Formats: sequence, C-alpha cells, structure tokens
Amino acid sequence: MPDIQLRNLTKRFGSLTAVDGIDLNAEHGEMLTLLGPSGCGKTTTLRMVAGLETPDEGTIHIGEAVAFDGSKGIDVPAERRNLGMVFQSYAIWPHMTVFENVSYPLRMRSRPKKEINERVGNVLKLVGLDGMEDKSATKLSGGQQQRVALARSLVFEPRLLLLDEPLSNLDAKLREHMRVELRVMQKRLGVTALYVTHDQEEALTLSDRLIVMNQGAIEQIGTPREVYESPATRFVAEFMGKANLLDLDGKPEALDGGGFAVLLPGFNGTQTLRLGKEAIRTNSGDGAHCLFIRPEKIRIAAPGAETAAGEAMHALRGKVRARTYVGDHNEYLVAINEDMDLRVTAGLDEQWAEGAEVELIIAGKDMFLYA
Amino acid sequence: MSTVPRSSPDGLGADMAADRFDLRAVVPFRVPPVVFYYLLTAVMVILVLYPVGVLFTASVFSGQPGRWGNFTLEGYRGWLAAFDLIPILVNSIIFASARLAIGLVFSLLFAWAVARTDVPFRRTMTILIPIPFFTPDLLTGISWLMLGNPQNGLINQFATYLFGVKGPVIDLYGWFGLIFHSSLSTIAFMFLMLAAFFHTMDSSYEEASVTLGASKYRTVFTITFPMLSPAIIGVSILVFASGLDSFENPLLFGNPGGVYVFANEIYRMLNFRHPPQYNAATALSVILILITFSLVFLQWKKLGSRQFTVISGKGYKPNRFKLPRPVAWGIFAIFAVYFLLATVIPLTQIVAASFFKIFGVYKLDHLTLENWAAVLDDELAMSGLKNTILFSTAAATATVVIGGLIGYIRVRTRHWLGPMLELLAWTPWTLPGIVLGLAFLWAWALPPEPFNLYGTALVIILGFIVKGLPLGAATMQAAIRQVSPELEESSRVHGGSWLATMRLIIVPLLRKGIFASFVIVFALSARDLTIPLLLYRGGTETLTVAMLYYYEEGITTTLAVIAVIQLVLVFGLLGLERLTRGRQVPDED
Repeated sequence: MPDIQLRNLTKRFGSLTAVDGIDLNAEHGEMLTLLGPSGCGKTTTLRMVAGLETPDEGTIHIGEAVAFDGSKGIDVPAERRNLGMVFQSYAIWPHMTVFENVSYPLRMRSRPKKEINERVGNVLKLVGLDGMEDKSATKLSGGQQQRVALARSLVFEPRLLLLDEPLSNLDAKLREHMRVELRVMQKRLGVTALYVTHDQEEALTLSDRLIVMNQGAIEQIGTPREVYESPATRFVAEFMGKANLLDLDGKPEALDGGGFAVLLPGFNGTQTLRLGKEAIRTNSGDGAHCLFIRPEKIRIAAPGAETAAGEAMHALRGKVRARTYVGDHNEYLVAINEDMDLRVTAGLDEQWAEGAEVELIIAGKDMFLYA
Repeated sequence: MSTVPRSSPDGLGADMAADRFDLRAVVPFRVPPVVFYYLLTAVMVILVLYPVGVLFTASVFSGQPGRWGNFTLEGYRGWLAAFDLIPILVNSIIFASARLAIGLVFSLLFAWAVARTDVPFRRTMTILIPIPFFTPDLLTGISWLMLGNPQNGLINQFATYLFGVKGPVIDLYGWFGLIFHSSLSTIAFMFLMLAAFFHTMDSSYEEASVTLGASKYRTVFTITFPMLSPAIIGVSILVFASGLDSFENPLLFGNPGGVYVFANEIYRMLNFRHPPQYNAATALSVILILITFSLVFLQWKKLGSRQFTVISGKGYKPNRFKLPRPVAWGIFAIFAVYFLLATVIPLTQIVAASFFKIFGVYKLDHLTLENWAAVLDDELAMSGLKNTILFSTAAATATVVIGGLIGYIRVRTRHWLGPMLELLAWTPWTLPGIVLGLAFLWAWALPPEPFNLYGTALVIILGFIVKGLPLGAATMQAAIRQVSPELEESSRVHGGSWLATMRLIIVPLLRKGIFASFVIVFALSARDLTIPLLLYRGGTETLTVAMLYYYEEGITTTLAVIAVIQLVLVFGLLGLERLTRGRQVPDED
C-alpha cells in the first residue's frame, strides 16, 4: 500500500484552478519530487497533503487512513496528520532555543521528558548539531537553521516527510552539499519524502521518481532518467535541461514499418528523417509538429567523414555560426538551413571554426516529435 | 498501520507508538473558523456602525438620549435654512487652514532638514520634535493659558510688575491663542508622518538633478517636494480633517474669545443651553461627519491610487546636502524656539505650578508638597485617576484582542470579511471625538435594560475602544504581517493544536506589537476628554474630566498636580514601550 495516495485532488483560488484533479502515489521509503515552474501547483499540492490548504475536491490517503475526503466531509487537521515538514524559510521559531525548536513535536505529543531528551540528542547528532541545544535559534547560520528544521521534522519519526524548496535559500556550494546529505539521510531513515522544487538539477539528483507539473496538472511521472531522456510532452522537453525544438511545416508521414518520416529542409535539399513509432509523444492530431533533440545527443563531424552511421543514424549538413567556450566543453550554434539553428555541445578535443562546414550526426532514437 | 519496521540504525527509537498519533478517520465536530469571523463582524457593527446609525436617525428627532420624541427637520433647518452654519463653517475652515499652513511650513522644513541635510543635532531633533504630539492638548493648553490669559496670565502679571505695562501684553483668548497653540502639536504630528517619507526617498533622484546642473536649493523645490507630493497632499488632507475634529483647543481658547467652530459649537448646544439642544447638536454632528468622511475618503483615494515609486525597499544611505553653517544653525534656532514654546515652557510651568503654594508666586519658600497631599485626599481627582487607569487598561486590552483578530483575518485568510473588518476598524478615524461621544450617548441610552449602558463605566470603555481601534488595529496588523505564516504552519504540522500555536508561537512572537498597540490605545484613552465629558456620570469621571472641572473652577494648584499625574502616566508608558522596542531613530551616517 502506498504511503501517500492522491486522487482527483483539486484546489481553486477564485477563478484560478491551482491544482486540477491530480492523481499520484508515493511508495514507502520513496523520495518523490514535485517539479515545475512557479505557479504550477506543486507547493499547493504539498500544502494540501500537509493539511495547510483545504482541497476543493478529491481524496488524500496517508497510509491506510483518510486524511481528506471532500465527499465524506473528512478533513483531518494538520496537527493530527502526523507528518514532518521542512519549510522554505525553515520556519525556525526565533524566540526558542535549538532544543526547544527540535523538541516541539515531542512536547506537543506529551512524550516523557527522558524520551524527549534522548530523541532530541540523537536527531541533533544525526544532523551534525550535537552540543548546540541551548543556542538561540536566531544565532544560527542558514545551513544550521536548515539542519534544525530537518531535525525538528524527523525527531518524532513521522511516516512522511514533506519538503518545500528546502535548499532554495542556501548558497550554491552549501546547496550541493546539503542535497547529498539529505538524500543519504532519507535513505538511511527509510522515511517517505515528498519534495517540492523548481530546480531541475535538484530534482534529477535527489529523486527516486519525479513529477513534472504545469498549470495545475501533471505532465509526466517517471524516474529522473526517463523524464530527462524521453520527455512525455513538449513542456517537459523545454523545461528540463537544454533542448533544440524545431518547428516543422508539414505533418509527419506514417511509414510502412510503423515509424514516421519527417521532412527537414536543408542546404542540400530536403532531407528525410526516419523516426521510430515511439517518437511521437503527444498525439493531438493534425496540428503543427516540432522536433526535439538534446544538444549533447548531437555529434559534430567533418563533412563527408566516414561515420559509423547505422541505419538509425542521420547526418545533417550544417554551417557553424557561433562557438562559445563554457569551460569543460564548447557550445556551437550550427545552421542547418536558412531559418534553423541547432545547439550542439561538443568536447574540447576537436574545434570547429565559425563558418566551417560540418556534418551533424544524430541517432533516430534521440529525436522526438511533439504536437 | 504500516507493517514496515520503523527502526533505524541511528537509535532514533524503534517504533514510536505510531498508532498513538496516527490518523483517526473520524474527526470530531469542529466549529468552522468562519463562524468566528461573522461573530467578530457582528461585534464591530454594534461597536462602530450602530452608534453612527442611531446618530443619523436621532438627527431628525426632537427628543433627547433615551427618548426619541417626534420626527422633525428643525435641527437641519436651523443650520441650513437659517444660514447658522455659515459662521461655524467659515470659522472651522479658517482654523483648520491656518493650522495646516503653519504646520506644513515648519514640518516640511524640519523633516527635510533632519532627513536630507547635515543640520546639527538632527538625531536630537528627530526625537524631540514629535513630543508635543504625545502631550495632551488639554494639558499644554491649560498651561499656556495660565501664562497668557489676559486677566492674570503670568506673562501679563510679570510685564505689569517689571515694566509697569498697563493692560495685557499677550492675550491667548480667541483666534491668536487658538491657532498658535493648535499649530504646535500639528507641526509635531505632520513631522512624524512626513519624516518617514523624506527618510526613505532615494537620494539618487536628487543627485541626478544636481548633476544636471540644478542647485541644491532648486532641487528641493523641483525634485524633492514634487516627488513627495502625494504623501504631502495626503497628510495635509488628514491634518485638515483633524482640524475640524479638534475639541480641546476650541474649548480652551475659542470659547472665551467667542470663536466657535464645529466641535465647541456642538458642545455649546449640549452644555451651555437650557435645555440642551440635542436636535441641533446632533444635526450639526451629522453635517460634520459627512465633511470629515469626504475628506478622509479623498485622502484615501489620493494615497491609494498613486504609487510611491520613490520609496525603495533596499537599504541605502541618503546622501546629505551640505548646508552653509549660518543656514544650518538658523534651522536649528527655529527648532530651538519651537521646542521651547511647544514643550519646555508649558511642561515646566505645569510642573512648577504643582509644587508652589500660590499659583504664580514662585519663591523658594513657597515650595510645597501640600498640593500633592491635597490631591491625594481629593475625591474627584482620585476617582478620576482610578477610572482613567481602569478604563484605559480595559479599553487597551480589548482593542488589542479585537485588533489582533481583525489583523489576523485580514493578513492570514482570503476571506472577504477581512477587508470589511479592516474598513470597520478604520471608520472611527472619520468620527470627531465629540461626535463619537454624542453618538454613544444616543446609542447606549436607547436599548432596554440590561443593555442600557447610559451612565455606566462600560459605555466610556466602549467609547475608548472605538476611538483606539484605527491605530490599535493597524499596529496589530503591521505586527502580524511581520511574522511569516510558515512559523505558525510549522507548529500546526508538527502537532501543535490551534490553542498551543496561539500560546507558544503567535503570542510570544507578537509580544512587541501587542505591547505597542496596548500603549497607543492606553495613551489615547488616558488623554481623551471628549468621550468621558459627554458620557460620565457621578463616579465615572476621568482625570481629564477632573482637569477641566478644576480649570473651570480656577483651582489651579490642584489642576497642576492632576496634569502632572496624567503626564507621568502617559509618558511613563510611552517611555517603557520605547525602551522595549529598542532604538527606532532612523540611521545616522
């Protein structure tokens, strides 16, 4: 049985639908990330799970218990949902010491004093703040506050941990460090975590599975690799990482073998690209299509060079328009016809000058079509 | 229950009795918070709108509080058809305009000098200029009249004694005294309002003007004042409206000089006519409300519709104009004279008067504590002191609670009653004190027992609450806005009930705002004259009522002691609040 089950969860603010009937499950011990641009409904979803926002429709199950069911009038208040939460601002109470902050959930549950001391000691050791019990919470650095917030949300061993952009207020170095630590800790404690972020790198490195949201709806659920390498929708393709999206004039032709043929105007006349049948991602009928290729999936070669191109490989003739040095690699802008440029990432071993004629090698499986 | 083992290698407890706090599917009945919103709205309507409604109704009835009488338009006909309103209106406009003009000149000068120039002692000036706003007008007014009344004012006696001048050299009765004395506190109030705008204006706008060739002084008039004009106009309208509202000054200086404006005319209709002209006074009150309401509405539109683009949130140090030394010291001299007139002279005089046997004979061997001892035995003074402390404390406490709830609903929820409640809390801002007093007199003499509060202490307390609500609620709202909602949510999520969150998180975090709000309402109540003056009966008189009584009886020594007690009460609390708040003086460079 999943630890969290959301069914048809909906939240409206006035005429705006912030979350539009989403369904999702989180399995026990899983780190599940809600990813999307601001206003996509990810934080609202998290807050509904926490009990801080009342859904308009749908159900929330936490474990076997119903936390919310609109049709039955069940709405368990936040303080009884028994979950830990790390807030974006950390929400460390400034008028309390570290100990008072961290022990709060246990005090609210009327645990014996001995147990409170023991548990707070243990959890502070876990986050690396042992010995800081009596420090005033306002005297802590950002990273330390972050740890206190984490300790507070873990001290009562909740079934579920909610994290609302917990790393967004840290500087870049510390953020990277905490990201790893968070992941290790979550796996060690085996707690189920729901993590909200707008940072795709964070989502890719942290999650077991991630959920990309847009305008209140789920665009794709999958492992980081699935989402990055084979985006389900044009939105996901554009949102995750760098992408080349070429607008096509005609609509793709179905081939006998089940694949598709796409016509692309080039310097040497129109070229036909053959794509597999799984390449079509969103099927919205006859509308204009666009072709998606990641810059790092394109290889640059000298024109006419012998390529080990199997039949699934395509070669496009192009002209280097610009080259940018980015440290560990070069980024090229290569024109493949008068109107279309492709971004290409390439290593530093081979350099191509601006204006050089090149050949772009792309595997058929790395190209997708979106309506 | 989850069957997965919950132990961890970190010894965080194997299984923390998960069933103990796990979710229960059935939720006991909870009162939805919306019910409280409606309840609070009902309380506010009864407090604020009900008395105003009764006042409007009563203006077309011939009776007196407790008895409607017959329908009549006589009250309005007297004012409007017989043109009796004209002299009152003209006097009021002259009074409010003169006060505003003087206030504007000096407050702009002081605010600009303190915030934008290198005038000497500017931090001292920032602290001292606002003081007259906090000293009750009744007190400083009486003090000045002790010095400057034409019969036995000390200045006049002194002139006769020293130089043999016959007749008064100074006469504060009438127009001169009225405008002179009310300008003193107006300057302080306008400075308080405007200095903040001058402090937060980004100096790069002025620097741009100077680099483009304008002189510093020219820049003041081409850039600084015009850019701040929305603020200046907004504050001016507010001050003009409060000029129409002012009661103590017209009563003290206007009455003996025969100058009648709205406030003292309304009071005259009630107290100096036999029988009291309730109908005429009520009709005049309604006319006054309509005027002040339109003015405040205008001010609200002015400030509401225009953005203060000059105020940037980022911290920066304003670049100060270097003034030539004679100019800088000239401004300081103007400040020194103002401070002497507005604070030093009236306060010294009243304190001195409380320690000498005979008023005006300040010889060392006349120094005495007898006045103080006498006041301790004085029934009216002691009852007034007790009542002032009691009523002000009750009103301040209630206002903090009501203001806190309104602020909370406004800031933390999206409920449509939030803005409604905020508006209701602001409404008394448009009600002059004397009008509020009269409205309460009508409104609470009307209901049957036990809701008839006529002559009770409660009606005065309710009056103080309503009078204190605009500032009290705004202070609470500002305090609540500064506390991140996540601090509360974090408590709820981690197991804190509504009550625990209130007790352990919200109240401790708001304690400074709560204290500030309490002190403001306490100070406003302790210095208020209009509400108790119209609503007191034997036993519920306040210090201010006692002061006015002894002033009118001419018992100056007792009066001075009571005034000093009131001063200590108000300033003691304000000082305490300032101490707990920490230093609030704008940064010095």
